[in-house]
Amino acid sequence: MIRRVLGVGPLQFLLVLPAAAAVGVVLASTAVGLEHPGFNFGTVFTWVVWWGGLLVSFVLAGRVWCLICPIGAAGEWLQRLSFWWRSSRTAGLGLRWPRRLRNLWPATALFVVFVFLDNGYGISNSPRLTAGLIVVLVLGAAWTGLVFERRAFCRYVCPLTAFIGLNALLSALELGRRDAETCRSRCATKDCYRGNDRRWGCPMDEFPGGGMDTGLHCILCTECVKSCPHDNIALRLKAPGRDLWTMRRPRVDGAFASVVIVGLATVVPLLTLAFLAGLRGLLARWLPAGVPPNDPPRLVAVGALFVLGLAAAVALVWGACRLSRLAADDGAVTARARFTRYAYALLPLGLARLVADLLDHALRTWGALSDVTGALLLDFPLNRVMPGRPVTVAHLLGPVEVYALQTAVLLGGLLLSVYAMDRISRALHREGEVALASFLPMAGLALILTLVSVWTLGIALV
Amino acid sequence: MPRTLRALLLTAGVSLPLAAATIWAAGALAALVPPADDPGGDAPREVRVRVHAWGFSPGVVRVRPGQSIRFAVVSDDVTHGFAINELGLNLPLRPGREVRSPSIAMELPEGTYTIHCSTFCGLGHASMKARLVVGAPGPAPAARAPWIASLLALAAVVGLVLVAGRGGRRR
Repeated sequence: MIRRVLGVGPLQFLLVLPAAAAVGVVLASTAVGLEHPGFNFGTVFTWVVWWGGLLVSFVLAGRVWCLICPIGAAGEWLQRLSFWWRSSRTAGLGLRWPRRLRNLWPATALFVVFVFLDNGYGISNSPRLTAGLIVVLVLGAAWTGLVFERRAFCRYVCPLTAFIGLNALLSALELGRRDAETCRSRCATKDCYRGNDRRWGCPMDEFPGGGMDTGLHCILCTECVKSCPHDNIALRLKAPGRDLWTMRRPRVDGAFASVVIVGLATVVPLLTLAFLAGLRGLLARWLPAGVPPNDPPRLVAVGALFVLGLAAAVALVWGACRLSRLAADDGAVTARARFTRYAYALLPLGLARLVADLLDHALRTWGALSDVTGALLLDFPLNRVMPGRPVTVAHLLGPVEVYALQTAVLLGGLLLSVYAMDRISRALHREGEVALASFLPMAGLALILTLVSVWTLGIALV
Repeated sequence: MPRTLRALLLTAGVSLPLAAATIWAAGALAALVPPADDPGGDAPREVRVRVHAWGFSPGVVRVRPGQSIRFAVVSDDVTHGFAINELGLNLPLRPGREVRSPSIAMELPEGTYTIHCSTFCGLGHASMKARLVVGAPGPAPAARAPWIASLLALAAVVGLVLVAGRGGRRR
């Protein structure tokens, strides 16, 4: 049954359609609708419902959002001049993506810029900026698709690709070859990568029958399932997070991006909470104050704390790796090699923190969803009419219960992270005692980052 | 010195000061903001609150049971919300504009209630909280929650380290 569904030609197109309709409604609502983000359907849907769904989807099905994302699909449709069928004519130049940029560095930089703009200017806090972001992404996908081959935008440019791809390593679902020998010796055409006269090759420039050992770049589009002449590509379950310790070729760009994600989720919020107001006041002595969000002292303060927080996160992980090397007393594995392996294992801590953050908002501000949906229905899809009734104040759980749930999520992330570190240590060192000595400082780091989350979330209870 | 013991000492030597600094930093935040104490008298009291990403000033608002109060709230930076769910209060805020709540008779039982931002406003949104203290409820049991969570985290790591150590010896 599953195989039959995966074999349906327009499967991805059919899945993208409802997502495209939802993004269309969000775009209309955010572009011309109510200006307060708390009453605008588009902002609440995007930054609470979609964002929450995205975070949960990583563990369930990896990059499944990319499978249905209409932004990436728009660029692809334009490039292929087709919605799903193999056409002989295509648009665009079809250039290869530059070799020097075939990594996660540009996407990581764009992700940091995106999060900075969100926290400096309040993208998630403004319907118009949210609409602007969607338009910029659609145009970016379209232009990149017209210049470069395959989904270069989705793989290298999208500001969320590093975040989504790395968190997809926690997935319990994967697409992969059934039998390696079939791909190696029986397949000469490599249709899963190159495509054939019926189907396209992998849009993410991966080789499912060969070097693809993790779900980092796999968007589950199932083109490889359809194109494989040996029926050797399958969708299957795996232990959540297994990619963290089984990946054969961890790269430093991915490791650095992992630290950035975890730093943005844990260390940066702690520093901004502690110092943003004070630093803004200090900078206001020298810089001209403006009307928020165009307030130079605040923007500079947010930027400085971002740089400081990310530098602190990198220093913490690097320091733990140096400590791990010292403790293991094994010079064969350098601190850089440890950084490249262990950094990925921190990802569950970042994801758990982001889920915990959202749980608080979703469970304590539950009434907003019915308010914005009601407002949207009054003037569908433009969302310009403010409902006459007062704001619904409803929560599903009290603050202590929410905190207990958040703690459970953080502990889940901690356990998975420490387990992954143990597995990585055992892969790095043959001798049990050396592996344990190498693992201990990393486990200490995971505990510290969890405590950062525990205390920044629990501050209101103290 | 055995390798594992040395690793343990190194880890503890670095982790313990860092953990203490984290707890101190988070705890010190609450102390940074002065509470809005009750000036006394029977007239409806106006509580002025300034809101910014990601906090409230004052961080603690003390009121007497039965007292009538009115909040006057202004956001200093981006769009926020000022919500006290137990009072059914949710004020949408725009940058720089003061918003006043209706007069509220404080009929909540003595205790501590959370004031929170009701509009998603970025990385620190989940920690953007203040406290409304009605009467003199004494120390809240909830204050122990972060300590309990910290002990659970410590226990989880120690448990996994023990399991890993046993696995290592077996190899």
